[in-house]
Amino acid sequence: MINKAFLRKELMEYLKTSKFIILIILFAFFAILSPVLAKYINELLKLLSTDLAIVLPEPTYVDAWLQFYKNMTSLCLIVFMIIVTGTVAQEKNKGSIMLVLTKKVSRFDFIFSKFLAGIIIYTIVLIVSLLLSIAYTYLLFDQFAYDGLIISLVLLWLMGIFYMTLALFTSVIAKTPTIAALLGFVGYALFNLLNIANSIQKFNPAGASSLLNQILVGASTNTDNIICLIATSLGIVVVYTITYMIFRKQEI
Amino acid sequence: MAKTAVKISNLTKVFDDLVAVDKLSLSVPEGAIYGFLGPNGAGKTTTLKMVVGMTEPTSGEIEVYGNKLTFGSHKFREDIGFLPDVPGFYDWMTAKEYLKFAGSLYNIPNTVLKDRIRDLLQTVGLTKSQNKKVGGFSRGMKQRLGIAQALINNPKIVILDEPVSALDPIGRKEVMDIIASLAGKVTVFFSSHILADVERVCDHVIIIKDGRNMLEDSVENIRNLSKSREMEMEFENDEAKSFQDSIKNSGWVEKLDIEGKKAKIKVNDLDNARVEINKWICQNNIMLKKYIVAEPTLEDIFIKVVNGND
Ligand SMILES: Nc1ncnc2c1ncn2[C@@H]1O[C@H](COP(=O)(O)OP(=O)(O)O)[C@@H](O)[C@H]1O
Ligand SMILES: [Mg+2]
Repeated sequence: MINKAFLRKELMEYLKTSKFIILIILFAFFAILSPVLAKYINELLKLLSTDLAIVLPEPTYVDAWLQFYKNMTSLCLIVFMIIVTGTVAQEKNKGSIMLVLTKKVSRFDFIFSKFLAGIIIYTIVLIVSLLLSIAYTYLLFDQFAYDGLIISLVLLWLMGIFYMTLALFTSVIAKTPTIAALLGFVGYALFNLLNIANSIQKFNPAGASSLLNQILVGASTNTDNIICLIATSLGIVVVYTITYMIFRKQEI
Repeated sequence: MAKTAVKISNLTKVFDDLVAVDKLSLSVPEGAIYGFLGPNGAGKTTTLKMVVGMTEPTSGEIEVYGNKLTFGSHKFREDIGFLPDVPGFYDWMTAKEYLKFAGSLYNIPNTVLKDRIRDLLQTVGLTKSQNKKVGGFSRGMKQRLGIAQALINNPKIVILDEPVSALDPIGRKEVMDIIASLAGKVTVFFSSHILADVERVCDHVIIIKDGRNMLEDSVENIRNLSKSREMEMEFENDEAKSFQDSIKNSGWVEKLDIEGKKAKIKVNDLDNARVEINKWICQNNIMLKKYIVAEPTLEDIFIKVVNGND
C-alpha cells in the first residue's frame, strides 16, 4: 500500500495552489469553444471577408468533435504537461522532497502518488470538459454520438496519461523546473512529430492524436485502434518504470 | 556503557573525482548532543545525507543502534528525525497543517498527533504563527518549524544539518536553546561550522576537514585547545621592543612577532596573559592605540590539532 497521506497532499496541492482551477477553466473553455467554433466558423469567416468566393460546407457535429480533439490534444494537454513537469523538480528545488523522503514515504510512494494524482486530476478535468462539449454539441447540432466514440475517448484519456507520465519523467531527470518544462515540451513535440508518418502512427503511444480524426470519419480499422491502445498503455508502463528506476537511485 | 546510536565506519563518498567524505569513522553515543564541526565544504552535509539515506555511500558502513543501514531501506525512518540545511515546506500550508501532514506520514493517531503538535509549536515558539502560511515565514521561523517537524515522530535520534548557520545572533541563540533543551531526551547529531554554538550545547564533538576526521573528543578537551588565542597590540610610541623583552620569557607566550609599533602574540593561556599584560601597561604608563583579542576560530583549532597530531 502506498502512503495515503502523501497522495492526499498531492491532490490538495492541485486544489490549494491554482493548478486545478487553471486546468478546469482552460479545459472547460475549450470544451465549450470547440462545438461553438465549429458551428459558427463559416459565419465568422464571412464576417471577416465580405467577398468570400468559396462555398463552405455546412458544419456538422463531426466538426465539433474535430475541434474538441484538436484542442484537448494540443494547448490543453501542453498546459497540463507543463504543470506536471514541475511536480518533482520543484520539490527538489525547494528542498521539500528531503523532509518527505526522510519520513515514512518511500521513493515508490513519492513517485507513484504523483503519478496517481496526475491521473485523477486529468480524469476529472477530462470528464468535465467531455460532458460540457457533448452538451454543447448536442445543443447546436442535435447529435453527438458516432461509431467508435468510446474507443476514441479511451484513446484520448490514455494518451493524456502517457504525456503526463512523460512530464513526470522529465521532472525527475531535470535539474531545474524550467529545464523540466522545456524537456517536457520537447518530448511533446517529438512524439507528435512521429504522427507525420501514417504507417507508424498506430504504434506511437501518442498516435491517438491523429487516429482520433480517422476514427471520426470512419477511416480507421478496429485492429489499428487496438494496436494504438496497446502501444499507448505500453508507453505509459515503460516510461513510468524508467522514471521510477531512475528516481529510486537518485541522489537527492 | 552507553549504547551507540549512530556508528559510521570508513564512510566514503566520491563525486566524480572529488572525495567529499574520506574514510570517515565516528560514533554518536546514545543520549549525547553530538556536534559535527567542519568548515564549509568539509563534507558534513554529504555525511548526514548518507545517514538519512538520501545519498548512497561509495563505501563504508552506517549503523543505527547496531543495525546496518542499506540505501533505499526504510528501516530506521521511525527512529530518526531530520532537518536538512535548507528545509523546504509547502508554501500553501500553514505551520500547523504542515506538522499535521508530517505526522500523518507516520500514521500517528490523530489524538496523539494533536497534543504533540501543540507541544511542539510551544517548544519552538510558533504557537502564535501556527495558522500563518509557511510561504510568508522568515528564515528563522522556517528553521524552527524545521526542528518541530524533525521531532514530530518522537524520534530517538535527531539529525540537524547546520540548524543555526543561516540565522541572526538572536535567532541563533533561540534555536540553540531549543537544541539544548533536548538534552537527555533524545540523541542529537548536528552539524555546524560555528564553534561557539557547538561549545555551548554539545558534550561530544567531531571536527572534520576535507572529509576526514581531524579530532573526535569531548567538548571539555576541545575547549582547552581553544585557550590558545591570538592577540594584537599597537602602541602609540616605540614601546614594542621593551614589551617584547618584558613578556618573552612568560610561560603563556607561544609566539611573538614585533613589527614597528605593532606586536602579534600567540598565547596558550588567555586569562593569565591578559592579567600580566595589563599589569605591565599600567606600571609603565603605556598608551595603546589598539588592543585586540581574536575570537577563537575553528581554523585555529584545526591548525593546533593537525600540528599536534604530526
Ligand atoms: N552532488 C554533488 N556533486 C558533486 N560534488 C558535491 C555534491 N555535493 C557536495 N559536493 C562537494 O562535496 C564537498 C562536501 O560538500 P558538503 O558535504 O556540502 O560540505 P559541508 O556541508 O561540510 O559544507 C564539497 O566540495 C562539495 O562541493
Ligand atoms: Mg553543509
